[in-house]
Amino acid sequence: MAHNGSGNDGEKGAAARRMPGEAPAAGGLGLWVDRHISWFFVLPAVFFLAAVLAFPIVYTAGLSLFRWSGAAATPPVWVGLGNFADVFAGDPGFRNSLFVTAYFTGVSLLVEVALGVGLAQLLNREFVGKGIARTLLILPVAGTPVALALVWRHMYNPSNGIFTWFAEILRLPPQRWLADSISVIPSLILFDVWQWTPLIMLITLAGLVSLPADIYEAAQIDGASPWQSFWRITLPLVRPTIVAAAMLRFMDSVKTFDQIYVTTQGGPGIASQTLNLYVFDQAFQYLHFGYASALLIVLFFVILAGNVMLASIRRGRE
Amino acid sequence: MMGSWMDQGRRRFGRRAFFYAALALVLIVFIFPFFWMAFNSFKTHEKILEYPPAFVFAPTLDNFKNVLWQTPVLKFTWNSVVIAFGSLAVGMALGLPAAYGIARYGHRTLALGILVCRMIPGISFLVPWFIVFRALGLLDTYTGLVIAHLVITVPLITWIMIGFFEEVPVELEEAARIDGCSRAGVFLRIALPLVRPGLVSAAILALIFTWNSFLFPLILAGVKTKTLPVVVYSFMTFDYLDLGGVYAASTLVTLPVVILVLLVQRQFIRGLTLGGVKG
Amino acid sequence: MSGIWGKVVWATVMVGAVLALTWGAEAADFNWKQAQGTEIRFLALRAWFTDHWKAQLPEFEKLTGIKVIVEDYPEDPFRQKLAVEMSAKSKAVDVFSTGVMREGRQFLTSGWYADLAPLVNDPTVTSAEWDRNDFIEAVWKALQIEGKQLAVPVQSNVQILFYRKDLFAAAGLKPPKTLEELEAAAKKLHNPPSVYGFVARGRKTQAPYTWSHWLYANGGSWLTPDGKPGINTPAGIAAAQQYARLLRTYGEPGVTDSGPIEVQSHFLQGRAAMILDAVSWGGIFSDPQKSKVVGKWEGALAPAGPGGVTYELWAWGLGVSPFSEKKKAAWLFLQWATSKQIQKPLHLRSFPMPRKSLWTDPEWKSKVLPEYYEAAMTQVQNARPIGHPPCVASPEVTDIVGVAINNALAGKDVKAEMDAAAKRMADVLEKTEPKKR
Repeated sequence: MAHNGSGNDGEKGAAARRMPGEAPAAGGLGLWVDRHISWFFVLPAVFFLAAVLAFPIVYTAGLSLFRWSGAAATPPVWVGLGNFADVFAGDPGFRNSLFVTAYFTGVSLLVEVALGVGLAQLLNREFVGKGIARTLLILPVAGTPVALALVWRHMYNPSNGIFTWFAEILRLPPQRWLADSISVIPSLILFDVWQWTPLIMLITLAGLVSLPADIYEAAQIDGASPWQSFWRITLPLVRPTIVAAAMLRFMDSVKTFDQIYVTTQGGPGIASQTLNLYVFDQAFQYLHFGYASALLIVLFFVILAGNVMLASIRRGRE
Repeated sequence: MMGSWMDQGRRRFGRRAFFYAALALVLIVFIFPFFWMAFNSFKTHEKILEYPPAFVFAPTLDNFKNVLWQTPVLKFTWNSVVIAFGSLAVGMALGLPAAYGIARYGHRTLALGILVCRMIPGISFLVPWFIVFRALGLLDTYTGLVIAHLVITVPLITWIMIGFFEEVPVELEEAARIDGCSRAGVFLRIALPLVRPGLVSAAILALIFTWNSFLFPLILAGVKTKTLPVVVYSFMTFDYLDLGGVYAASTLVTLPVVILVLLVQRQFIRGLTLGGVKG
Repeated sequence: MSGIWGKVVWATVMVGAVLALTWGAEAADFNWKQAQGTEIRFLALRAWFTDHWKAQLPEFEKLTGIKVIVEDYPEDPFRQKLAVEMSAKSKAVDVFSTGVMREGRQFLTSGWYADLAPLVNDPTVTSAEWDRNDFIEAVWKALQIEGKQLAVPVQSNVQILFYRKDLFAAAGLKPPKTLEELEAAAKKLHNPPSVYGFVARGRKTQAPYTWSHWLYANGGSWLTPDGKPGINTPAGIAAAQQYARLLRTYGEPGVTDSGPIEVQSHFLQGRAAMILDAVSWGGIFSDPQKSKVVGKWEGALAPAGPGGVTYELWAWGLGVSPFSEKKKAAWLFLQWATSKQIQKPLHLRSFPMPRKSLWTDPEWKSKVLPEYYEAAMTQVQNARPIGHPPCVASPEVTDIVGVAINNALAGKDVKAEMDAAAKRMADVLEKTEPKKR
């Protein structure tokens, strides 16, 4: 879903795309509107987003400087950067949640990309039932996360879930899935991979389809194996698409809420408490609104940093 | 010669068989939870709790009856529909021109700004929005919920459509301008029709995300505007879980989106395929 | 002679008539319609009592002319929505469900309860029929903090021991009276995967509630007399060791994720030999539609430990928001919802109500199993709200202890876990408890 496909042309490109030799509309106002028409296209969306987001951003930023427990009786207490100091200096809950988030998002993203690209390659050919296959594969993305989470939660039940039954007939050691602090994150990763790999697959497939076919012919003539032609030719060409999909998925993955909330609520203990869930508990269970606001700001920068890193991958090795 | 020809045929057959087997396996894996969800909706609560899981049983429609009788599911469905399509419509109205503007005229920083909006965690909106909405009387209203979900749809639509608009050949627009078309006209009459596949994809993704959202309606909606996902969750009281109800409600919630996607899948995939997502 | 007697009789009759008229007038004169035409919003916990009220709402409206909008959610979303609304000082909430044992001090410090005591004591807004004295003292007092009446109880749930009398009889066992006997019985009957010896709550937010029984039965308490954490005293550590050992060895595999729903399901399905949990489940266990153990179970007193026994109490209640502008109407609704007529049908379905008259009602006694009845009666009259730490940051401390118990259940060293939890608990107490002067 990237838009700067044409690479680095940015403003220059925009200028080049601008219509040469336009006749300005009649009248001074018309002239002014015409010259600034580009802004008229963009501003409604910008204004709207600014209006709706301004207050929450200011509110959160402001509240992060106070200690407040939502109380009507006690007013917020100014602590300056005290909340942030608490977060970074000595909050084991925060450190745990960073680890959990990195583990969950890192692994699921890697698996989703690897599987998604692989599946895209698999489906990038003509075969009977192609339409049906692609349709069926979108379903996990379309399903309601809350509903799916409830189903998966029951499937993972160590006493009567169907996954437990699968493990039994496959003669695997009995698993406790979501109820065990070691297997809980892999279980959640499996759920996430199941749900979002199709999205990566579809986007990558779109990228693959648009590649010209003749590059493969040239490679085949040269005697390259399918694996080599994939790795050396296809992959670099489609990498920007993949990274774009990964960035999109990364943002949403760090913010994952419904699925974990419904299945484990961060448990057992705090073994699956991502940063997002940790903030939620701080705010709505313990009512530490000021501290939660500080955490939210940290969460935002984590997401921003991750995206910047991913974007640099796309640029980096060009 | 005969030998190698048959060998090749066998190899090709083998490869194809392998391909179809792999494909079938993949499809089963991705579809199974949906099948299981629907399958279990026809079991009683006790049957669902049985182990090993029952594959043969006497189906019952009681769960669906409970869901439909106990909760005004139709009303909630309607709420979900109104909010989803409302956010879609307004999201399109705001996002399409923005995407076009960015594609044609640069404004890269704005594009990044819109992307950044997507990075803000949803929780940070809850309390401030609650305060503002309450002051403005927007709680438990369609307007309020649509506004809230626009924060999801506008960046999504804009971000997806920028690529598609970039694909529209400049020459076509130039030709129209020379014929005296205004810039807005060019946008409406030339660019938009050409990006229709992309539009469909963006619309479907926007609908999916809005329909499935849980946290915003939970906090900002009330009795009048409660949506379906919230309803699914309410089949759990604090000490009794009606699994049959949960499964039936889950099936009912997921069904509309699934049907929608099945209906428009061709356009959806065509849209993603036709290039808006090139790197 | 007849003159004087006549006068006396006449006087008595007159006095009697006047008294009768006054009493009758008081009863008949309570103005249920004093808030007629108001509309109130009830942010409710999704539960069997809420469903019962929703079903009876038309009667309330007929009685009082007040329209009630009920919005109910399962426990966690309910808590979050309530937190958002109260912290925004929303006037839109009039009545709300509340668990004073858990969040009472937290809400009180935040100023989120309207004190109901003045309303209770005001005969113009409180009908005499409602009969405040019919509430079980222990339960009524449990919803009071610092002299303020924070809520009116809508149930009185104690944790009794439910056991499979068929399995016990087959093994020649009697229901355990001490925790040691409990463990011995669990060991004998533990036969996975068809039957687990003892099933109990293990999830982070739920485990401390059941575990508190072990804590107090070993002579421990949440806080020491000088306000420090009591969870890693020798009694606390013993309690944690016993609980963890019991559940790890004779419990079910998913214990770290189990809450009330899971515990109940296991017993209903016949997979648990014993559970220690809500007395209100008696009704469901005897429901042939839902239960596989009808006729096979009985109730017993929660077993004692080396330090004696304290029965814990949990009672959801109804509170009134201090930001509400319709407190009178809200109060009328509270009375109606907790009145004898409304509570009686629930009690007969074995959902325990906080009213003495209902517990001693022979109709109920005839419907329930005899040992269950004995155990329930004894416990409810002597119960104390020990299930949650009595501090402002109770939810947070509960979570801290819950994590420790979770980890203990997963096999980590009990003492280390409880010590670490006590340290964090002390930190939290330091930050959140009001300073004593």
